Order: sequence, then C-alpha cells, then structure tokens
Amino acid sequence: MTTGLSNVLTYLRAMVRGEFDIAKEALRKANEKSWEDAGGLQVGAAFYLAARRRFVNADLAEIVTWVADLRAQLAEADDVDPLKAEHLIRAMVYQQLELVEDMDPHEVAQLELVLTYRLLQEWEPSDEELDRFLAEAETLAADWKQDD
Amino acid sequence: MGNIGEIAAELGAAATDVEATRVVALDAMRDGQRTAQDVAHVTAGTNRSEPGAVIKRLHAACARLEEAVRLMGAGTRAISDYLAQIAADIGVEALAPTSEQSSDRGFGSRLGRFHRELTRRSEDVFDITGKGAKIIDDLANQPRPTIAEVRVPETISAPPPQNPGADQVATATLVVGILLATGLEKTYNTMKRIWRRRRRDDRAE
Repeated sequence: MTTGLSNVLTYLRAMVRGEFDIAKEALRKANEKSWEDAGGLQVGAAFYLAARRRFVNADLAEIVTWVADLRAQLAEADDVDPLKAEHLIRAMVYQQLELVEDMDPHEVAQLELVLTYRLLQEWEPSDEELDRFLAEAETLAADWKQDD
Repeated sequence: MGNIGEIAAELGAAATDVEATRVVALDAMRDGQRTAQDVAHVTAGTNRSEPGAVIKRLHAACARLEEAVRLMGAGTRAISDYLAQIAADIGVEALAPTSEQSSDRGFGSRLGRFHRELTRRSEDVFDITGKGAKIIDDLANQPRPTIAEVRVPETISAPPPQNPGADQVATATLVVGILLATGLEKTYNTMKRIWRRRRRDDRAE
C-alpha cells in the first residue's frame, strides 16, 4: 500500500481494492478535517488525470453514454446529475472550465469523488498501476498548491 | 578541485565521451537494444572516467525518459513536464514550449486555481463525503450490468402479435364453420331421436 496518501485518496484506493475496513477508517479521518486538509486538491487532480486517461480521444456522445451507464448502475439514478457530470468531464478533457465555474463547490467536489471512483473501478488497475496513478495525483496536487 | 586547465580538459573529455556515447547509443539501438536503459548500460562502457558524471546524468535522464514514456502510455502527465526535468538534470536549457504546450500549461494553471478555490469554498466535508460515499458504496456493493450488457428477456423481446392476414381469416372462418356445422348436426340428430321416442311412447299409450 502507498504511504503518504491523503485521507480521501486512501479511501478511494481502499474502495477500488475492496478493502472496506481501511476505506471506512480513512473516511472517518477525512470527516474530522476540512475538505482541503482531507485531500480535496488531490481528488481534483486524480479526477483530472483519470478523466483525461479515459476520455482523451472520446467525443461528446461517448461521455454522455458513459454518464448514462454510471447512472443506470445506481439504485437512485437522480443521485448523479447527468448534465453536471458531463460538464465536469468536458471541463477536464476539452479544457472547458467555464462549464463548471458557476457550479456549487460542494457539488463539484462530490461529483469529482464519485466520478474518480467510477473511472478507477472501470479501469481495474493493478496495485502497482493504482499506486503510481495516485502518486501522480499527489504530485499534481502539490504542484497546484505550490502555484498558490 | 583542479585548476582551470584541468577543468577545461575534463570538460573536453566529457564532450568527447558524450559524442562517443551518442555514436555507441545509435549503434546499440540499431543492434536492437530495446530500452533506453539497455542503451545506457552499453554506452557506460565507453565512458573514460567511469563512473563519470556525464554517464550518470545520461543514465538518470534515460530512466526518467522511460518513466515519462510509460506514464504517457497510461495517459497521465504531459511529457513536456518530464523533458523539462530531464533538461534540468543534464544541465541544458529546456526547449521553448510549442503553442500547444503553452496552452496546456495555461489550462493547468487555470485548473489549479479552480481547484484551490473549490477546496477553500468547500467548508462542509460531510456534505461531500456523506452523499459521495453513499453513491460509491452503491457502485461498489451493487454491481449491475451496464447498459451494453442488459439483455431484454425473451418474453418482452418476442414480437407483438400482428394483424391477421386474409389467409388466416379464411382458415379461421372455415374451422369455425365446420365446428358450428358439426355441432348443429349433432344437436339436430339428438332432437330427432328424442322426437321419435316421444312419438313411439304416444302411440303405445
């Protein structure tokens, strides 16, 4: 297991690997902090990297289908707003940040968390690939923070 | 540290090594050495001042380049970021970015700013993780077939009944007619038997 991951990335890693006790503990720790300290930037970075990895050559129809597919797998499809999810992916892949700049920050963060999990779940990376990916997300988040 | 002359000689030797390394590296690649690390191992033998700084740097640069290429395969980070680092390792000036690279960097900067503001404005962590974790649990614990995998049951997918054709109507009419005629004949014969029996009984009385 990768050490030095933020709480939320630890949670995501454990969920992808099916280590539910670790996920629960990581989530508990995250909930004791602010979103920033729990790893909010890292989730954003992980989502950006995962979305680009998955949709780098995708057209709009593929994104729409992917989101519809995700919603079809939920007990309550309305838990994920399709338009907002599509906009968030397009913002990352097509560099159209203007699509999401007016969205509620909590909603963006929540969607990024869910969509990142789904992208990783669909990818089914090996332990090594997953750790490398998460380390990359940590590095990118650190770069973003440094630019502050 | 030696005097200026020694340093100059060292630099000259390093330059010769670099050129020799380049030639050997090209040969190694022609010989089918597949990875940059392989090439670096072969070229290490050409270095006069083993373990010289030039080869060490080249070795590190090769490793970094391989890592970059591998990560590019996974579609993660821009290779320009790695090339900049390699350039810094070797001690040369990075190439000026192309307009596309500049655009990527511009977006990266905007994206970073967007996420920094986002995390600062996201005060209530429960608001994010509460519903988010619920949805993730749903995805993790209740795997459902994707849309592409859904198969419509045969009972639903069977074609609906179509309007009967003229031949089907004729057949049905014929069958119904035969059944009616048979029924009527049986009824007539039964009535006839009863009627005769009654007449016989009347006569007997």
